[in-house]
Amino acid sequence: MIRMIISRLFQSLVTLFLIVTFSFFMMRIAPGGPFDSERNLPPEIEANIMAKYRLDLPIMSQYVYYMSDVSKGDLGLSFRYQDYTVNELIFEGAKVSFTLGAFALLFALIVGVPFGIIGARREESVLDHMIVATTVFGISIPNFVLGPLLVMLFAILLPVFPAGGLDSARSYFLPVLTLSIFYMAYITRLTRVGFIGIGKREFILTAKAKGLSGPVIVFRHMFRGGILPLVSYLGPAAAGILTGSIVIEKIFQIPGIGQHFVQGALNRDYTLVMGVVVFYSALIITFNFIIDLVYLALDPQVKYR
Amino acid sequence: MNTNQNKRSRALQYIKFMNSNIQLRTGTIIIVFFIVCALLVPILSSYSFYKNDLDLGPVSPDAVHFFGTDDLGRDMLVRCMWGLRISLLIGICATSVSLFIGVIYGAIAGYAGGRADMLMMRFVDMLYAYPFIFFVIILMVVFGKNIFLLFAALGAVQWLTISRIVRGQVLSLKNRDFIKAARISGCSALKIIFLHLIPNCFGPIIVYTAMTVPTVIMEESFLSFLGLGVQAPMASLGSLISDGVEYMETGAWILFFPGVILCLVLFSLNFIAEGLRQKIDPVR
Repeated sequence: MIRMIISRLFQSLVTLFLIVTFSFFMMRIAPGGPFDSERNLPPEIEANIMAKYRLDLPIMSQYVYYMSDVSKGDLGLSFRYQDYTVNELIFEGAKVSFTLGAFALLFALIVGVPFGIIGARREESVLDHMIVATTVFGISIPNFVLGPLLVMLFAILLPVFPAGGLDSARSYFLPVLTLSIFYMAYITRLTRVGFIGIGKREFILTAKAKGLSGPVIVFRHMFRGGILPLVSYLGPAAAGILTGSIVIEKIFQIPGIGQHFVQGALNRDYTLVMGVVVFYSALIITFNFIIDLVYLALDPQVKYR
Repeated sequence: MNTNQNKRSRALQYIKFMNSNIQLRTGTIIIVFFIVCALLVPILSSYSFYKNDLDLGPVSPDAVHFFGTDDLGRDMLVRCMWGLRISLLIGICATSVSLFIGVIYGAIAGYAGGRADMLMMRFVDMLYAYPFIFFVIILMVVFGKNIFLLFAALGAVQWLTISRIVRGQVLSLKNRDFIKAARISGCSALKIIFLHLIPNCFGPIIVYTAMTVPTVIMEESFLSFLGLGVQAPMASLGSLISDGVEYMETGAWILFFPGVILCLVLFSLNFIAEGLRQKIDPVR
């Protein structure tokens, strides 16, 4: 088991290393630079700027410098916002994006899991069919349609919630709802499928035969196995929420990481874009690693060789 | 005569199959309707999707412009149908790219087995951790917003899951007797993979393809919404929605129609995928 954890950890590090390398070289092949518009600068100043960003060095030594900086957690200076480091920009945006994402995931779980269990317990009932049909809707509506629609309904026609920003507790409602609907629907389906699968197993039949009550069966016997598909989905879900947040931030004018990323990409602010990619990859890899551990702890059947 | 009859019965079988499940039926009816509209409306309509009519400006839906016009006086019905064309085209092209890569990669990994298989699948695991939509965004920015690049980039993102599925199938098939027989009779590895293994994975491949099409359409719209996908004056449903958001307060119809069309298209495609999954692959 320890060996398995170490090997997973090692694999995560290799993945991260490859991602950083790949992103670095892709950025360097990219034609055009952030300073193209300032062509009429005197050559001395341009040389100074190039030196500040180490762009005057050969590409391999740039790479070595970048790698050693990244391993210390330093993502460099922003090409565009020259007074800021990428770390500062990301940190600033991350506070906002993470609050949003965490609320959305939590909300999706709180609503999705119970409905999934209800659907599974009453499989093929009218209620179950309604739940399944609703989830198809939830999965089909893209968040960039849902978001503006909700703004139109609840901020313009019926001014109950603010249309943008994150100034008050109420202003969180619409963005969090928009971000979480898809995951809510997906989590409901996964939970439902998981619990239906577990419900057909013999140990559940035994529990029923012993005369245990419904809640005891669900929570003591089914829960652990039933949420396994959900647990392995949490990694992709977290990644999806992070990217989905780009759109939400645009619609609701929230200054999160997504805004930085899109702006950075449009401005050819390569250090910032790379910083965001490296940061998100590290985050997703860490998260996946933790999820693997949780899975290991939950599932008595998993035996990693 | 005979082949004609054969063809007709094939078509009949297909219709019967589509009719056998309520989700398949609903999904197919909606999507066929949209495909026909997307093909015919721009041909039949006298309006073009790019010609501005600034004197007209934004007009709410009426008997002349069924979907109204946008801020530049362009007919929204025609623009929506062009957007739909682009979105559907991207759905088909990008899915084909991902199928092409994923099926071959998965089949080779599964058939090779052992170390090669392990390495190839570890590689897939690693790519799973990469925030791919970021990769596509970078590609679009770095190499220009080209629609063919968009096809390729979106397709290149989607092949991971299909390769896992195909590999799993191939692993379970490759020790079956008919493969052994093929090997004994001197079939080359390539022939076994392409003529015997891949055709036997069609069930799951079809189901997964049906699931990929809406995903790809959604991702393209996502990029176009951010202004990184299809470029003006060409429109996709995503860029139309993005335009609509700007005029949301004064002209709700500019947002409403593309939004509803996109939702219905995704909805019907997801329905088809769900129906196919129930019919072909009822285990999961």
